[in-house]
Amino acid sequence: MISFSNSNYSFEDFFAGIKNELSNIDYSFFTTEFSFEIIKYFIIPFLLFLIVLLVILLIANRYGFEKKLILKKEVEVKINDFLTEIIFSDYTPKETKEKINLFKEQEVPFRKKWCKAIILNNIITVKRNINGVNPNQMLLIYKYFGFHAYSDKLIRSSNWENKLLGIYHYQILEYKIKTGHIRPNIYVKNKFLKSNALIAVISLSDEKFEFLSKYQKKISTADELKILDIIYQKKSALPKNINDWIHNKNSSIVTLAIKLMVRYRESLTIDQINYLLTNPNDRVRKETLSAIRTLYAIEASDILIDYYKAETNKRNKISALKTMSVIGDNETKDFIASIMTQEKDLEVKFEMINCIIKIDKTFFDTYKTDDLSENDVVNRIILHVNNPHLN
Amino acid sequence: MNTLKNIIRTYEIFISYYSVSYIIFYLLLAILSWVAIKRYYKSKYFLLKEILVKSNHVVGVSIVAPAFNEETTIVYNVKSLLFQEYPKFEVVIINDGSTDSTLEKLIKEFSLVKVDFFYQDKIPTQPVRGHYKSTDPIYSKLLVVDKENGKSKADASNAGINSAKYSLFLCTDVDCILRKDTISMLAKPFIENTEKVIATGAAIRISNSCEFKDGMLYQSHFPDNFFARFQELEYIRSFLFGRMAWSKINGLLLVSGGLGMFDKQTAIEAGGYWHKSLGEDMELITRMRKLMHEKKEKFLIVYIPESLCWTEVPASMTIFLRQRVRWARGLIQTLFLHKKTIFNPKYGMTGLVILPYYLFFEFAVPILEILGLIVLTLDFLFFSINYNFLFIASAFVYLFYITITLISVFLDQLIYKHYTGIKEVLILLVMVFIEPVVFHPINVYASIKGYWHFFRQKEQSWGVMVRQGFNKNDSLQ
Repeated sequence: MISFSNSNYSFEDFFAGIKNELSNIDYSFFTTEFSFEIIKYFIIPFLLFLIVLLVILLIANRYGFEKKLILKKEVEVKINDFLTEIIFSDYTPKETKEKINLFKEQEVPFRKKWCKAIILNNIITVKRNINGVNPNQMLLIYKYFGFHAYSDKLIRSSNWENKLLGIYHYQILEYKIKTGHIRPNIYVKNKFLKSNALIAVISLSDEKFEFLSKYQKKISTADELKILDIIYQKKSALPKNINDWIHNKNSSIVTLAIKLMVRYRESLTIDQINYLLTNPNDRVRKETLSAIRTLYAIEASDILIDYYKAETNKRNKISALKTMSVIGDNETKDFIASIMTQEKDLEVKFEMINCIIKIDKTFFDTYKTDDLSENDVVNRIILHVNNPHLN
Repeated sequence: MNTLKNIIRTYEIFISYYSVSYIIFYLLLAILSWVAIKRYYKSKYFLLKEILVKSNHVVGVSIVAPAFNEETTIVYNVKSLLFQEYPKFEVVIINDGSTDSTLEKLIKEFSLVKVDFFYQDKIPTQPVRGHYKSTDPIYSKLLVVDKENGKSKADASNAGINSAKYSLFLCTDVDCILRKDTISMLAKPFIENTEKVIATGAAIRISNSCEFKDGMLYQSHFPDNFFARFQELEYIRSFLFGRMAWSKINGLLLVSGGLGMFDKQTAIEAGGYWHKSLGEDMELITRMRKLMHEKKEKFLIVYIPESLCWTEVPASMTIFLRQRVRWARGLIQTLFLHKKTIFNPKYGMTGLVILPYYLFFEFAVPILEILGLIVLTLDFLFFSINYNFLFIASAFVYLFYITITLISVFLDQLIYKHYTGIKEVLILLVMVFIEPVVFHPINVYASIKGYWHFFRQKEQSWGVMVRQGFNKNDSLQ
């Protein structure tokens, strides 16, 4: 190490010292003829080669793309016309098969990967977005084009990305018979594959809810959205044992049960509300509050007052106030009014005033406290709440 | 003379080691970036954005867009923002004391009326004069905040965050054109990840020369302006190469002010944008990261390789320099402000890897380049120059620079196929080769000037960005 304790140690020595230190590390590596030669004869030629290669690849790739673009557009038009014809005409399966074979052989370059991709994507788009198409016919079209073999190959592949794509095909095209091929993927480690396999199995199963009620693991928010999407699309009936779901130990299942009840406008009983509002999971309680509000469960009004006193989560408190503003009565109003002045959090106070106004529009007509700043805050909130453009 | 010789030799040895570590770091970034992009596209079937767009259960998002003297483009851009495809969002425009007719144009076009908004100063800002809402139900998602000028975008953004009603906010510039699915794409990581996501970002592209229709990109063109061309290259390299790599190791320190989605609660808890900052986007992320480290909570900052936003970049030397000087000043300001975080193990990755990287590479490179020139001159004047070595070393650095840019451009073309024809791609390629010798020195000059301004504590301001606006015949106008 360089030391300054010696008074004779000059500025010059200091730099010389650093130089020596650095030299001792591996100075030779950089300064010897050898490293210079490496850069000159290996690295620079390699970089030059890489640059030339990248430039050629870039130009070739773009040229290929431009060239293919015109052809692709032409083929795409043909595919769209053809698919429209066979999906919306009353051809028999035999006729459909013949027409598809003829189309594959004569109309489009079906052997090309990009062509297959366009056809399959179009089939999936139609199936996903157009209501009223016959799912059996779509599945037949998919099979007659030979895409079932492609999807099967994808699912059997060791690559999880391919599996994901194969599962997606089966799910969208409702290839129920293949559920068995998807099921093992529910238990893999890869979170993407596991999730999509679970959703596909739920979607393809005739008893989708029964499978779900036995599911032990946590369901992510993304999966929740996907499950709700399936439910909305398939218009399945509400499970008969929904009460068991509410008592399920898995909070994800409980949350989903509440969302399902809201979706099917199934009323929550007082016992169920009481039980759910004491659930240790914040999200379950918040979902319950939202359900009470949407389902207009006015009988829960008293329960909410007790619940509010015990709740510690700020977001849930706000949600409770929002719910009380919808289903609350005079007793609710009196309760909120009694605690309003002590509330320091302006977000909560805002909801309190909103709640009171929603129950009794005239409540604040004569309201005044000795605290001027409190009056000011309350007045500003009242103005906001009463503004028609802000609500 | 001997001392000078020793200094020069020491510098040369230091630079050798430094260059090698820099190159190794960049190679690592290249690998990480490739892995991250591949993983992103592999998992695209995990949660389809169509599901988000149709769902009633998604998290709400407030778009926060400050405007200062934007009368030429404000109406068009607000309409474009309102066209987002997402079930639960609002657009909050903050008029930061514009001296032109920005507010008047908004009031007239969107039938705005002043409303008694209960404004809470969760993040302190300059006084807010009022809030405006539209009487036309078509524009019910629009909220305009009128405030006194705070001499910074940060202050205006903070007023927008204070007025936002949803738990996520998307910060953008009012001159940015967003892809219709921008909210869905940026909100996706917040929903997909089980760990808490505090911010997300995506690629910004340059709108100069692009054609827009109905507030959407219609035809992408490589810019025809000299400065814009180089900036396009720079954006490709920075967004696709650098940020994807940092995202892979959860090391993002910069989510662009032009396009970033944030968890509102975390941003407010961190204190919002700092109004005196000249690199407020980077500075906010630094504070948010520090906050999460202090709270010992796991978090993610995610970057996605999608071009979601188009913005007009400076097309003249004066404005370009002003912008870059500001950025450089912002960088040194942030590093200076958070100097105690650097190498502090309490701040994990932020303190031990990210900030040191910014200090030793992003900040130091322009200084070292200037020092290099000085050393070369001194060598030339007083000692001798090994021209053979100089040529080989320069060629190596130049080729390495080109390779990195070309890899970025190649990835970009492979994924997005931007621009209208092969001719534009060829021009882009030419720019790749001349960028290091033409554009890079200007950048270095701007950085040094920015550092100088920081030490001299020159006063900051929004600055005037001369906008050309988007195509005038567009139906939105």
